[in-house]
Amino acid sequence: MSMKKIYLNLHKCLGCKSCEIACGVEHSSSKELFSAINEFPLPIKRVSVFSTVSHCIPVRCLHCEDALCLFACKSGAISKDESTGRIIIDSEKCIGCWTCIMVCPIGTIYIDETGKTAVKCDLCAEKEIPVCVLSCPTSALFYK
Amino acid sequence: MAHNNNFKNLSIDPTAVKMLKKAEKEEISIVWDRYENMKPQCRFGELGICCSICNMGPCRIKPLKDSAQKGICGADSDVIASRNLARRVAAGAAAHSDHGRDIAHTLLLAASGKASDYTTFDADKLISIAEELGIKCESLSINDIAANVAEIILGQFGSQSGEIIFAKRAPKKQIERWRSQGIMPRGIDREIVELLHRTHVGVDSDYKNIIYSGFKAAIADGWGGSMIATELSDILFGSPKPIRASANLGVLEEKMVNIIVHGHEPTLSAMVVKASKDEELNRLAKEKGAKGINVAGMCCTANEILMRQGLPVAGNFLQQELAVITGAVEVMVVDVQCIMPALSEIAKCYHTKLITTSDKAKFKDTEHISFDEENAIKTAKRIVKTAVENFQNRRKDLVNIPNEKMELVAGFTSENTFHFLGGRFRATYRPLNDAIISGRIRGVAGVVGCNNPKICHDYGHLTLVKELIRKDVLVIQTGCSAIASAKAGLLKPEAAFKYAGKGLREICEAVGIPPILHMGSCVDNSRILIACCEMVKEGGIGDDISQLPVAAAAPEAMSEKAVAISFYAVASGIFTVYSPQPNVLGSKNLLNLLCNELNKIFGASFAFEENPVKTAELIIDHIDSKRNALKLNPVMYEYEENIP
Amino acid sequence: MKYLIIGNSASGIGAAEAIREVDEKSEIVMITDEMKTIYSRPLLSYLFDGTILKKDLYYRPDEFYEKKKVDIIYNKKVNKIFPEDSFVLVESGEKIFYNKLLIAAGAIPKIPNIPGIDKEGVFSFRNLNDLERILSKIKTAEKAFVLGGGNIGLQAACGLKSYGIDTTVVVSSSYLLSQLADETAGEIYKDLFEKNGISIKTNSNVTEISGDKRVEKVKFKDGTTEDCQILIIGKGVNPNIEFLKSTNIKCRQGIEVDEYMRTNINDIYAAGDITETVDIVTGKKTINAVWPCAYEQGRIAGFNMTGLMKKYQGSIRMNAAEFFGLPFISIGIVKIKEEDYEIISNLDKEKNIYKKLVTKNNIIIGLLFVKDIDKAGLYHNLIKKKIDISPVKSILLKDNFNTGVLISLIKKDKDLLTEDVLSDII
Repeated sequence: MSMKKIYLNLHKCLGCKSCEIACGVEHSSSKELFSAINEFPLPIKRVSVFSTVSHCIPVRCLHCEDALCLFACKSGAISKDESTGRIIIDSEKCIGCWTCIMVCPIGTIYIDETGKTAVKCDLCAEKEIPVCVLSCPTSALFYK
Repeated sequence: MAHNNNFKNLSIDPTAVKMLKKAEKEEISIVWDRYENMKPQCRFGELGICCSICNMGPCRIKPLKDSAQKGICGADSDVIASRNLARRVAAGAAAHSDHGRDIAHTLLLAASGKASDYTTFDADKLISIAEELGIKCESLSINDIAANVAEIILGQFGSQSGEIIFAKRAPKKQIERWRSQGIMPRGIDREIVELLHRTHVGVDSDYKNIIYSGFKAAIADGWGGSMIATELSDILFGSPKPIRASANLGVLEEKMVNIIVHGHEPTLSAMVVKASKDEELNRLAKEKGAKGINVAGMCCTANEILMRQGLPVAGNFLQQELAVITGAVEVMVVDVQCIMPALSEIAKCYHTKLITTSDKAKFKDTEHISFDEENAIKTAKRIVKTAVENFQNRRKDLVNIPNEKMELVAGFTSENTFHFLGGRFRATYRPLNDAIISGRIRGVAGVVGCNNPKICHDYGHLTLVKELIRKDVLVIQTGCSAIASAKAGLLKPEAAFKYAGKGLREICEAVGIPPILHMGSCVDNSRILIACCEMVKEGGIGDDISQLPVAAAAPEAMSEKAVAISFYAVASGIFTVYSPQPNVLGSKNLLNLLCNELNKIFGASFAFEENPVKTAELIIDHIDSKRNALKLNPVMYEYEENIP
Repeated sequence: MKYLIIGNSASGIGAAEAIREVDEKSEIVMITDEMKTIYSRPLLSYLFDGTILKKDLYYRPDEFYEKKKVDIIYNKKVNKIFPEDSFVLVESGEKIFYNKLLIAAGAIPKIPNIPGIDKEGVFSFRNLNDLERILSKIKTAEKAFVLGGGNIGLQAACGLKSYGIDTTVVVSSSYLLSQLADETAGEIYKDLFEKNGISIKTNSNVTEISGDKRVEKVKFKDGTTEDCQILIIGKGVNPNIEFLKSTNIKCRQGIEVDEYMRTNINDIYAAGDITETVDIVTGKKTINAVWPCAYEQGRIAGFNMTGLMKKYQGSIRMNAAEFFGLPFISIGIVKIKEEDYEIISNLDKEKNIYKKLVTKNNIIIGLLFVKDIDKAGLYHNLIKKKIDISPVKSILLKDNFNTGVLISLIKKDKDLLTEDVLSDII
């Protein structure tokens, strides 16, 4: 299984939150910044930059090897793509029971714009490289 | 290099593409590389919703679903975006106005005999301005008149009350709008200072009030500082007259000592031109193996010496590094504004000496020859001599001057331009107004502003102006925008045959002018305001600038000055399309104010559009709506939809 | 090697998937008394109230068994286990041999001992069969009662209401969700249900069910009676251990297992709602009959059946649900039972936002969130890791408690590794 993941060079993150915006825009319906911020409901980003005592950390789904959300999902909406290792939420199948939110230890699963289903990082399914990585001005995030 | 060799996406100027290739070969990183390296650019900044005005910050408003909707002080996206924008206006107005102040100061020194190198006043213009200022000229010498003018004008900067003098040139309705809105400037410096005060943390927290204050400072620029710079430069250096010249990097001469004057103020450049004609220096040049001394301009300095002396133009803003990269520039002498800090590093890759001259603008590790008006020609000669002596250091293997250069006609002003339309002996705007009324000309558009690597170099300008003249809009240009047209051959009278619509072509043919008129540097946008006043005065196409079938655009805007210009254009009733958007899209309310609500106040508003074809459509629609409102005849000739 | 798994719900599937991650070849047999394919029981309530269609009930895709090479035996009950001879006896009389056996037979509804409980129109609500039986009677019903104000009872009530049936939930305690929530949250949901047209009868109980063949009336503790055509029992579940009585498999309430999910009998494992595991919060053996625990236990059991030795960290009671657009999450101990418990909470009655954390010696042992549930996972992490929260106590429920704070709490900054800082704190 060739699993590409997003990695973080902790010392390079300056907390500019470019990844947050890029992510929100990528997951908006227009996929364009100026339209996205005027959408209703507003698009939901799936990465958040937080600060620890001395660092900034963009927190996003890690697509865990032992993904608690996958184990906890009652509806079968969460699955693991065997070839890429991605943990994916099928929004058609998700019934919004929020069990995945309850078990995600780093809080990277969000309630979607409509309040009906759970969403999270999909490693930008339509893109070769996730937009958070592309948008990072310091290359703190990288994909390999 | 980051841009994958696809230079044609970066510039439509063939000289730029050639120099980009040369730069790549020589591993020199230039503006487009730095732009690539800067990507991704901060989207908060792009939206205008980050604030670092105070020390509690930096703050950012989160434009997506999130909790941080207010800065630490409580400023929301409206306040933050409007403060940021207003501060740009302040800086832009400050730059223009300080330029104007320097010219006024030079005039005063010259008049009192302290700057004896500036002697040839344009007496007609001097007297007409003096009379406008209420000076009784009969009993005074030219020098005394000049001194009086200079003093009154210098007083405009520090004036604390009343109304700035040149603003009263505006049509009545504009003045009424400004007065009723409380934005008639009292003094130039005062409005800029007050704007900076208002945008200090915890002062003005009403985005509309902040923006109106921005308009006040901008009016103090367009109808103050900039207009002063234009008018007094005309007095000091002579009013421009139509003049032939050439433009693009091809104006550099392989066998001559090349000096590029770059920046904005004509005070120095005019003296360098003078010094370059000095016999002794030319003899020295020949001794050093050169055929002579060639002075060419860059950016608005180029426009100043082009308009008045017909000197060649090397290029516009994005070509300043490329000029050095030709390897054939002995000295690049700079004063203020739009001079890339990168030049000092790039000059070191060649024999080129970068010389700074303004004490306001020094570069690290760069030779500084402080320029003062009292020793103008002496300083200029020293600079020219440095260039001549540097000729022998030129590295032949690194020299590659693109051969492209283009003929052009420049030197139009609000006073002389439309004299042409009326024939040489009828100095009136009547023929222009008549041409508009009859529908031969659809309207007039000012296309101005900078270059910006976010937009393919010159593409925005050229696409827009070609669209406009094709649809019978007479285009007037200044600054780097005019240089773009010059390089593309659009400032030749013959361009009318190739590019202009039928109606505009008829006018150009009859009068012998190009379809696009070059009116000078960026402070000379004030000439466009005066032209609008004259059109109103002439009558028949509206008694308020906002009723005229006119519009403006800055398709590749870059500097804070461009923001200030767009502000005074809109405040003066001119619909203005600005691109790229000046970081205002993060505030819906601000955007609505700028693009809609201002119509109620000024009769004009902004539009933000990056696509120059769409910009042309917006301008055509606007002009047509103004024509409809004035119940003018339909435009005489339909334009063809798809012109090559 | 032949694996036999009794039950095909969360823990059974969890085990089968885990086994296949390690052992691609050996035979796996699953046996279930369910008739249909692989569906998720928690989805039944969504089918009931019309959120989803029957075709969306599946928990794994149709081709699951084929892809995982599992022989599935539907509609068969296991009657008896013979550990000495390593086979189970199916009700039809056949024997199925095994090398490793997982008992993941789940739980069965608790049916209270009320006169008339066996009448037509009285249902439990556990599996698809139950729901189909309810639906077959729904057209002939006007008034329904639900016995029990827990998750299942309330979901059933919502389902009944969606058919326009006059529905009342009868709760023996003084508020709703008494097993998962406290009085404050219970009140919020009581108001919500009443606003949505479902009556709530607290401190009550059905004492008698009467009717000819089908239920016609129910009688309450206070002596009153009411018309009733449908009565759904939602009083919780008991582990399904009846069929183990004849074996030596050690049971208390449920099957006792060690930390490797092994029963006291060799080669027999247990997981899911049938199993007693150590509760991380209380440290005591108990049945935490919740989906995420069931799956995880099944997964651990599955791994260990292949010969790995994975330890189960223990279970935590946790529930997440949403009624009428108002979600809640409840984890661990949410009601005070002893004096040395401390409560950190805030309530915004207008917005129905309620957050409550129960701590003991500065360690969070319980969480109850209504509406604002998005950060629940972070606290869950703190509960599991038993992290001392005293450094962040003052901001624990504030907006600025976030993953960054969590990281600082779990890891010393100097220990942060650059590439897998987040993996470190999972």
